[in-house]
Amino acid sequence: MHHLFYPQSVVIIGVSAEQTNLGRNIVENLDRFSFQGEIYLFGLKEGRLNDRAIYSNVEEIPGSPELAVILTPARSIPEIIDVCGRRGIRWAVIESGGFSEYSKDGGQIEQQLVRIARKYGIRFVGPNCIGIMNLDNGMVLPFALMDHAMTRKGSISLVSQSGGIAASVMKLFSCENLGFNKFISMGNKIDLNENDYLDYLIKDPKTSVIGLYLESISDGRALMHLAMGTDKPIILLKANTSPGSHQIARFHTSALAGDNDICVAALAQAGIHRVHTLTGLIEHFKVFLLPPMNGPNLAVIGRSGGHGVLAADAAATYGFALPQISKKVLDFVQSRIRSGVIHMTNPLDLGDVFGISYYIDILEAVLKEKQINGVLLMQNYTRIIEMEDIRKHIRAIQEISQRYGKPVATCFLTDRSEFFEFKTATDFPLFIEAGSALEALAASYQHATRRRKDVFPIISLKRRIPSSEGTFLAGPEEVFARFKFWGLPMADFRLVQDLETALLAANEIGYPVVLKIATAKVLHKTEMKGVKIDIQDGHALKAAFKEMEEHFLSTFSGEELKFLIQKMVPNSLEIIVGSKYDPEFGPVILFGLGGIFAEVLRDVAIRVAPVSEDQAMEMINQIRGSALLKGFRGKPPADVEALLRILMTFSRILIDYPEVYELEINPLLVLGKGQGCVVVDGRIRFNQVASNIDGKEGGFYS
Amino acid sequence: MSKGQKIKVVSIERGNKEFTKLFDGKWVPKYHVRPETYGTIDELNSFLGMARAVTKDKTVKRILLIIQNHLFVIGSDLALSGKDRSALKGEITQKEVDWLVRLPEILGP
Repeated sequence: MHHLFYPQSVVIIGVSAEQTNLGRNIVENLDRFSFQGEIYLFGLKEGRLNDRAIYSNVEEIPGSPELAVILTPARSIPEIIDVCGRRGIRWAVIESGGFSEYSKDGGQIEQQLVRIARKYGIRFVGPNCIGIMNLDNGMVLPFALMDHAMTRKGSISLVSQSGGIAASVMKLFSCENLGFNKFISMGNKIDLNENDYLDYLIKDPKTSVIGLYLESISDGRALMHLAMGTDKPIILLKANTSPGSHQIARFHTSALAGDNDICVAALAQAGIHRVHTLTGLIEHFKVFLLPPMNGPNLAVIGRSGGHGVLAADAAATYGFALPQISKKVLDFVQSRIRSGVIHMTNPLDLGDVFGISYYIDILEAVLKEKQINGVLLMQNYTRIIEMEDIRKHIRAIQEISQRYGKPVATCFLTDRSEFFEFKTATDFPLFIEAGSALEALAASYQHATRRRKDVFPIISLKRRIPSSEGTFLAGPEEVFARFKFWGLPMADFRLVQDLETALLAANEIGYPVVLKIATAKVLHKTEMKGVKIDIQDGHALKAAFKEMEEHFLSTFSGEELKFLIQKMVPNSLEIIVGSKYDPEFGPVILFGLGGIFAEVLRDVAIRVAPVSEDQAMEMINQIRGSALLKGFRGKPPADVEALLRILMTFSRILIDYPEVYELEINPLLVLGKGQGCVVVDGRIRFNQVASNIDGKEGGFYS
Repeated sequence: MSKGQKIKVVSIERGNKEFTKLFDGKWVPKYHVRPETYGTIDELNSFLGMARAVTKDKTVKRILLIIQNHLFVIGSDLALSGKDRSALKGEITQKEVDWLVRLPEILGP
């Protein structure tokens, strides 16, 4: 992909000398940003644009351009790509609209375009985009004129599914005096998608922070895999998050997770920082230009008690601690104050300190403190200070922050006449208020302390996404046999068809037992009167069996009924472990406490499968009801270790056996510490591929 | 392989204190070797699952399912390494290893 961003020569297709022609803006942009490669122009009519020839015959274009930038009507593009292919061009940026986003006919043109591009091995950006920008070599390709004076080269790169959002982010970069390196407007992303660009930017030495704006995720698991393999911060503004209507939840637990819940869980699992607004994106970019926040301990320095209180609240909201500042430093501050009427603590109120140079001395003294991981510095200036002093002051803060390798999130607020002067005084990022600065600083802390052992292989399953159409519920015999094979600890059971074998089975297992109807057609057995628990002897079993048989014979007349006799497990904590197949992230595992916790309170933990030991433990700790597992009000703690093993095994089943579309264990009973877990019941929904699998041949029943 | 016997991760070169090189040339932190290994086994197993789903040959289907089941057991063993693995019902014995070795012979040319 290096040729896409650093081509030696570019041909702009769709250029004319007409003032209204958009293609000429691309040429103008390349000149404004001093692109050093060769630029060739191609149009319907021969002519000249300034000092360059516009060719109308592709054979006449000298040399062999590495990249084609195309801005012509959609219907003309398949043929243009064919010509490019014959000329040996292998990279293209297609900025034109009028494809699948516009009409059905446009969708057909798009398919034709893909076929021709594949024939020649051409990779392309778009269509329907504003192109790409690389400030590193001045390759600025948008068809709208860009202002060189308003852009600054930096180390942030952005990939956007929307050209409009990309343009707005560029404006915000300008307002904040932030520098960027590469901008990619992906458009319809029918060939290159966000994962291709992300892979490149992760390896790009000129990029240190990556931003993404996505409305859809092409391959969520590939995105996670890439994010988990890099130390570069990735910040994602994800839009279009309302629940999809295509997924009809059939199981309890699958209904517990909406599309957005899964997206939130998956991004956090991969260490991708999710933001919800453009300003949130910008604040995160700014924070990741500072040294990392390596711990939770924050010092707040300001000139106003009110700002200090607001900052302390924000610190608590985002999980920061405000440790005591040492007496040595406080004594040093005392020596600089005038009246001594302000109590010294953290937040450190310097309202009584006058003299701009003292601030730097105090900041350095605080940064020297071992227990302090970062500083929130809130400066409220008046206009009596010269701009040059301000510039020096900001540079001093920047230098001192870098010297100690600790972030100093600096908030400046002034009136509009000074605001942009402040922003452009240096390339040091400035914030406005504590809340937004600390929200971003929390992401820096999260990023810096992300435990390496959490890095866990997420396998791309893009080529095996099953369809929910044609799925079917497995019968109890298959479900229990599979559970047993997978090593899930089962309560002893027998499948029976008549009272005589039921009585024999109960004698073998030993009373007390549970009697259940065993058919895939009864989803909610308890509600359907399909469960009788705590059957103490043969007499009780006989009565329960007859009653249940009679009830279901009337419901399923003419069908052969099966029943399950199962060992009664002592009363213990009920757990639900379930799964859902997400179109963007593949199989996900859900975990929650049974009863009202999961279904009413929606207290569930979600992860993309498979999960590591650490992630399984995080799931257990994440739910609000986890206190019940650890022993509560005199109750003994549950066997969390055993539960951990079940979660890991469960998540691996979802990956290893593609015929499993959805899986649920409900309930799983967690016994006391050291006594394990017992699977009481569950369901498996197979997808279509399972229809030609004969389990008996594979030895599931051996 | 009998139960309790440690599975050795093959082709690991000597690295520095914190990283080790896998046979595919990738350097990984040492604490990452075990999840990397059973993650790779799961990846293979997932692929075999797809192969099993698409093949129409019943013999191949049966063999793939048996291999898949073995890999699942090995994966479980690796996943729970160092923990109490009493929950595991399956195990890979010499019988399964011999079967795999003889497989080309069973299938014929």
